[in-house]
Amino acid sequence: MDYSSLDDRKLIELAQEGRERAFREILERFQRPVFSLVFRMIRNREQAEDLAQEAFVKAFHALDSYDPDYKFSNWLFKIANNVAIDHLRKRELDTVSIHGSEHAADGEEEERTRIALESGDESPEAYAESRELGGQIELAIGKLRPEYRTAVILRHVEGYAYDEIADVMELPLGTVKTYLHRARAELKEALAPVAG
Amino acid sequence: MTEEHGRPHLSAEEVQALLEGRLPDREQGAIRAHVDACARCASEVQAWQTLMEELNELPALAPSELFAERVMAQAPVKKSLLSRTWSRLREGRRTASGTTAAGRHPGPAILQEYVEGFVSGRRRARVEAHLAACDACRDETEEWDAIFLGLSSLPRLAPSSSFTDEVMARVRLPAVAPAATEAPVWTRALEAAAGLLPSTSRGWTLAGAFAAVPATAIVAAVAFLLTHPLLTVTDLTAFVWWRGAELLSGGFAWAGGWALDQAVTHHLLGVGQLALNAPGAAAATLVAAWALTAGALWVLYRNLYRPSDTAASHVHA
Repeated sequence: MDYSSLDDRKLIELAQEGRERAFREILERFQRPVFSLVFRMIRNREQAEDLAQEAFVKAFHALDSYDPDYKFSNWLFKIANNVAIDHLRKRELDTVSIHGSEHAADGEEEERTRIALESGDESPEAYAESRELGGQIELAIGKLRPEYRTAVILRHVEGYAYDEIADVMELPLGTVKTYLHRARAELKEALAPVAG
Repeated sequence: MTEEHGRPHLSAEEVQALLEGRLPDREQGAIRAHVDACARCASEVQAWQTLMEELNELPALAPSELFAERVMAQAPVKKSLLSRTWSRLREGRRTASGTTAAGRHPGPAILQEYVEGFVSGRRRARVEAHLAACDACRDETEEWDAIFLGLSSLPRLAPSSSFTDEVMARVRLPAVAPAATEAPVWTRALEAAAGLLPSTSRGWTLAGAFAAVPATAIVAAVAFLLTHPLLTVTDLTAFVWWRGAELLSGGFAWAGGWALDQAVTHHLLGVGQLALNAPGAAAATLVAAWALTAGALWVLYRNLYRPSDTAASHVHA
């Protein structure tokens, strides 16, 4: 059977039966879109790979709860976006410790822990990432709020319609429109000095 | 300050007060007398008068049309319920139309929608008419175009080449039965036949007993032929053929006679006669009978065969 010629619905049915080739075909079809979303959200290749994998593994283990009347890519993006947002929230909490471990016994230890955390961003991988997402527009996207980032990526990279984005993000259509308008306004402002 | 003609020269304040008529009556006479007598103060008064006339002729400059609206938007005004409702209605109408009125700038949201191609019809015509007349909005639209172009050229990013294998290593695949949907037909037929084979010795004994019944009959027939040398195979074949034909013809004759004796046959022949007399009615009756039969078969099919029994196991709500 040629799995690459199957439509998503049939492919998911075969995956629900546990066929490995169906899982591999799903990965082949959706790994780039899902990874692109997560990478642009997280902006760290190594973590993005782990999180994208986590999203797929979650989706594969939850296939029984998938409603075939729902677009599969929407369902998958919803899982991936939630994984990325959860990670960002945790990281936001962790950044508190950038100022030094709260368990540090003295000022010296606090300083040591602070430096250790910050130096993680200077790895060769981080340098490569800074080149990969280093374009002006990528940098500007990286400065947007996570919700704006998701909306922009789904709209402009994946070509999603507004109502599909609302579906993935579980938001009202009007909110998605507002997010996109504001996100683009922020991008326009951020890119104005470059354009000028 | 020097004194001349009985009083000091006029100060700037006194000159301006004189020209604006703000001097007290008791001082006005003395100051006017001094100006008449003092060439220096008369020249000073003349210069101030020219300046004030020029100031008075300065034109009143109007702010932009949006000035009042912008200020009012930030003013801490308590609006009445009626006023708030009216504002919302106006706002709704403005948003729906794309532009507030002739000459007003479309907002950034509308320009973005215009660039995305979501503005159409009369609304689009209004925006385009405005853009044709407004350099600022045209520039802004070009900026939005550039932003959209930049965003649309963002590539999808690929994970590492080991991504698929790493995910598959973390997936616990359920045990899968031999793929019924993937195997060829002959394989599935063989598998079905293999399923009929007995799996226990008792089963094999029973199967052997069933198989022995026809085998015993065949063996008995062969033994009978061999022990009667006058009975040839040709004679036996001729006898079986003759006897069989006799039985068949007798059976058909009996069945035909029985059928002709039945009342239903007479009814059917009557219906046939009616059909010959009224072919239209007969055709309609046939169609109705066919439809009823098809409907009945469909009901039987839906009740006896349930495709959901086989497909439901793959579909999850």
